[in-house]
Amino acid sequence: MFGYVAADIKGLSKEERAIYKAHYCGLCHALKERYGSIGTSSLSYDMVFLEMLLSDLNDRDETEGSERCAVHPVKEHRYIVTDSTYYAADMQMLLGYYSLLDNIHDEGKGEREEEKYRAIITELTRRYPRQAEALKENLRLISIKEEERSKDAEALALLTGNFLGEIFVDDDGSFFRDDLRTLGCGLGRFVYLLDAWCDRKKDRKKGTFNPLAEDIGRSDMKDMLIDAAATASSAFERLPLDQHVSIMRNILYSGIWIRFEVKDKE
Amino acid sequence: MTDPYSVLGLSPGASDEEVKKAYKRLAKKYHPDIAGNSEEAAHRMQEINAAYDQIINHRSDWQYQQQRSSSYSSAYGSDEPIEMQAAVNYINARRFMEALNTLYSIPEGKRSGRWYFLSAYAKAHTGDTVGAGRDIDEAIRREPGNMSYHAFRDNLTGRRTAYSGYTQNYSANTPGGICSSLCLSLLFFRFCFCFI
Repeated sequence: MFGYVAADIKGLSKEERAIYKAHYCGLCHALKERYGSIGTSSLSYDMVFLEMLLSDLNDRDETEGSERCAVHPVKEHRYIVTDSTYYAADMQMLLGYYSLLDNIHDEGKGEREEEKYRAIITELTRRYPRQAEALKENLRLISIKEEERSKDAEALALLTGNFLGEIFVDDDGSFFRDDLRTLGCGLGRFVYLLDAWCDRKKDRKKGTFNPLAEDIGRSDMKDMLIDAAATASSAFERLPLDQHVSIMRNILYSGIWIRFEVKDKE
Repeated sequence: MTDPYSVLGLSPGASDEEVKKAYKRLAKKYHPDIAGNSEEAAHRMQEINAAYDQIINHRSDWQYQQQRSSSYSSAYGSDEPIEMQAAVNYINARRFMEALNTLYSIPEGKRSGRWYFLSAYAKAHTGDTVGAGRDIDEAIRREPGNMSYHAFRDNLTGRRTAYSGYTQNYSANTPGGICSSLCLSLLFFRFCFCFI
C-alpha cells in the first residue's frame, strides 16, 4: 500500500533482523505460490507487519523453508510461513488491486495489469466480503472528498483507517477483533497523513490534490501523527503477543517515523 | 467473583507479559482444533477471555456490568431514547461498530451529554480518537460537572503523552533495550469506565 509500516533496521539485533527478513520472504513466498509474479510485485512492508502480528496472535504452527528467488537468485534464503501469511497475502492482493485502479484513474496507466487481476479479485471479494466492501466503500468516500478538494485531512485519514482496520481483523468472531481494528485504523490514519505530508510539495507544484493546509507546520503535523500512532500502539499493547513483540515495537515506536524524519531533513 | 489471575493459573500481581503468555498457552489448549467442539472447552475459553480482559483492560466482571446496565433505565429516566440502552449493551459486549450505528440512529436533537460520552467511548475503541476527542469535548460542554467525562478526556491526552515519551526513549536505546512490558503498562493509561 504505502510501505511506511516498516522496521528501523538499525534498531534490530542480528537475530531480529533475520526473523524480520524471513517473514518478509515468507509473505513473498505465499504471494508467489498463490498468485505468481503479479502477487510478488505487490509485496509491501505494511502487510509484513500484519503477517507478523496475526502469526503471533493466532499462534499457529510455523513452516520454515529455504529457497532462491528472482530477487536473490544466487543465495538461498530462509522463509517462514503460517496460516496468517496466506491471509496477509490475500489482503495484499486486495490492496494492490485498488491502488492499481487508483493509478489507472490518476495516470491512465495499468489497464492491462488490471485484466490480469480481475479473476483474482472476483474470488477474493467472494471470500472476504467484509474486507472487500470496507475497502471499496471507503475508497469511494475518499474519491468524493478528493473531488471536493477537501481540506479535512483527519476525515480522509479516518476513511483510510476504516478500511485498514477491517483488513486487520482476520476473524470477525475473534475476541480481539476490536483491538485489531483499532490498531489497523490508527496505522491507516498514520500512513495516510504521512503520505500527504511527504507529497505536499510535489502536489503543490503539480496542482494535484493534497488534503493538508498549505501552511501546515512540522509540529502540527507531528501532533496529528502522534495521535494516530498512539491509537495504534495502545491497542497493540493490549493484545496477547509474545513472539515478535520487540520487532513490532520497533516498527510502531521507531520504524514508522523514518520517512517523517527523512523528509524533515530535506 | 473468581480471581482472574487464578483462572489463568497465575498468582496475583503477575506481570502483563506473564499474563499474555499464560493466556496464549490456555487459548491453544482449548482451541476447537485441539479440544474439539466441546461445550466445556468453549466455556473455559469464555472464562479465560474474561480473565484476560479483566487484567489487561482493567474491566470489572461482565455479569457485574450487565447487572449495572440493567438498572440503567431507572437511573436515567424514561425520557432517554431506548437506543441508548442498546448502545450501552453493545459497548459492554465490545461491539463498538454496532454501538456507533445505534447511537447515530438517534436524531441530533435528542443527543445528550451522555450520548456524546458514549459516542466518544465507542469511537476511541474503533480507532477514531480524533472524533472521540471532539465528542468528549461536547459532552463536557453540556455536563461540565461530570467527572468521568473529564477522566476520559485526560485518558485520551495521556495516551499521546505516553507514546511520545516512549518513542523518544526508543530511538536512544540499543536493540532489545527497554522493551519491558512493565515500563509500558505504567505508561499506557487504559480505558476503563463503567456506564452508570
